[in-house]
Amino acid sequence: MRFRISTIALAVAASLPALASAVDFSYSGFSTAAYAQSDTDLAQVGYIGQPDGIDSDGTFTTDSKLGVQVTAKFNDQFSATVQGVAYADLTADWEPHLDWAYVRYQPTSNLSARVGYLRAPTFMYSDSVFIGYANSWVRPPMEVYGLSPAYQLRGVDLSWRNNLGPVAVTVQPYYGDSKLDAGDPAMEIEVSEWAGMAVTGEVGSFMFRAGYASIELGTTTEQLVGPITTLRSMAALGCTGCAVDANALDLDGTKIKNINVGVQYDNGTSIAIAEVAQRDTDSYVTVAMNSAYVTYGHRFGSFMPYGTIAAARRDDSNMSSAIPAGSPFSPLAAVANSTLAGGNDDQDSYTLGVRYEVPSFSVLKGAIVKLQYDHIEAKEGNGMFINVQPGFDGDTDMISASFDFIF
Amino acid sequence: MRIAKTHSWLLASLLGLGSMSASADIVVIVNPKNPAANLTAEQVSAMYLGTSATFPDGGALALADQPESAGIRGDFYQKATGRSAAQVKATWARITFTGKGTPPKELKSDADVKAFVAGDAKAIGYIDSSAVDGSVKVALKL
Repeated sequence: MRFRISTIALAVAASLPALASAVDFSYSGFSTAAYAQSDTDLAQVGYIGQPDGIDSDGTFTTDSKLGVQVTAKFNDQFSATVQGVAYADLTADWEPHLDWAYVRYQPTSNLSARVGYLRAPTFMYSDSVFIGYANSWVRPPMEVYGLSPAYQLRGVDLSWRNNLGPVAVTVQPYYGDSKLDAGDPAMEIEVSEWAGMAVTGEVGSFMFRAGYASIELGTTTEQLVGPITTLRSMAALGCTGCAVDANALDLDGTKIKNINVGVQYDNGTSIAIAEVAQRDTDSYVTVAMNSAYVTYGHRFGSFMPYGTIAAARRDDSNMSSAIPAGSPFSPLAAVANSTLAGGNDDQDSYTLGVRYEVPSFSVLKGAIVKLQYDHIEAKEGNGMFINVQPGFDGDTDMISASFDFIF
Repeated sequence: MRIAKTHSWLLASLLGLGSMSASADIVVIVNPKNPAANLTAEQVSAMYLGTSATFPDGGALALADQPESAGIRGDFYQKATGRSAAQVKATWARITFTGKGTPPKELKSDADVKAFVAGDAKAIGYIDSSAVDGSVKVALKL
């Protein structure tokens, strides 16, 4: 377990004993035990940058989680929350992480500010994506939620609510930085600047949401240091395409914009969700993508069958090296082209599942069982599959079962 | 249709039973100091689903809940929000674990909810209409 102790966390820890007598502590937790298996061993379903995903061997690792949250409420304005969650991160080890650790200041019922480790609300359910108990699916549609592997924000957010006529509007700006471990052997990718905003409007059974985030990365991929250095030296000799390639291969300085809109309709019986998302960047490593999904579920008592259709399409504005084919530097285009070929590409998926609310018993405050079938098709390249081996035909069928509960 | 006609007496008696049980009304109660005279089901729903963190006039809010085992809990959520108690629990799980709010305080009985509401100007709760007395103000009948 890796703790990143900030001065903020230390200040909170230091002030805890003095306030302990007047503090109201509350504990709660959530867990998902999930198994998934596909019908191929030539490709895996998982987040890009993850060494291991789901294949025909089956795994409990990818989707299982265990989280515990402790909140200390000092008074009506101040509280501090720590949430530890065990899950498989981008290094694929299932281990505990300090996911949230923040101090919350709430001067009024409709305004709150938080500082510490937070989850950025990149997409509609990004900050609650681990709460399987609250979500419709076993896992969120990868086509959208796989677009932004960084989720933990070290910084501040504000949440301001107001009623505009019948619409309850929440505006949540956030700012900070992040680090994530990825790959095998683990590499630390730095998010040097992360700023964004989510705006939500709720009226009756509808929720509308728009999100915007601007991310700047600060780490060069180790395997690309050599090629990038070579390209930059050729750029100095007048190869303009080499300069473009070098910048597009270097994650240090890469800028990514995540833009998305979503709508959720839930009248208690039927639930419909749609989200459209765009990852806008010039990078060859994490390529520009446009994605969307639609989910519909209908409740029959404790059972809810649901279905999802999702699609991801690569933006074809930068599909190959910027070095012209006839140029004397054209042999150097190979690195850019192979990196681009390995990136995210067009993919469709079709999901059918059923969600069942288990009557609460004993210490379990609530439990859900889900069974889900996915058909995933890479339409171009490797789609969003990871660890693709030669001979993969681009299609896989996958089954998943999960048991989600809160305590 | 044929079955319904043949057994119309059974249907009638079932309907009779239905209206009898409906006479046990659920009332939403607030502190007598609360300026809100009446609340609508939509307003109560927004508060109990975490969409609204205040009373309609902007006043601070403290939500009281009935125990999980109490039948009134499921009836209240169905009538006020159109959702089952389990669905509402999932909504609060999302709010709790993203640090956006605290779920309603679970109390043991009508009497406890009434005492909680009577003792806190910010409080709101729901109880069986037969348990109402002068210590609280009825803001909505469901």
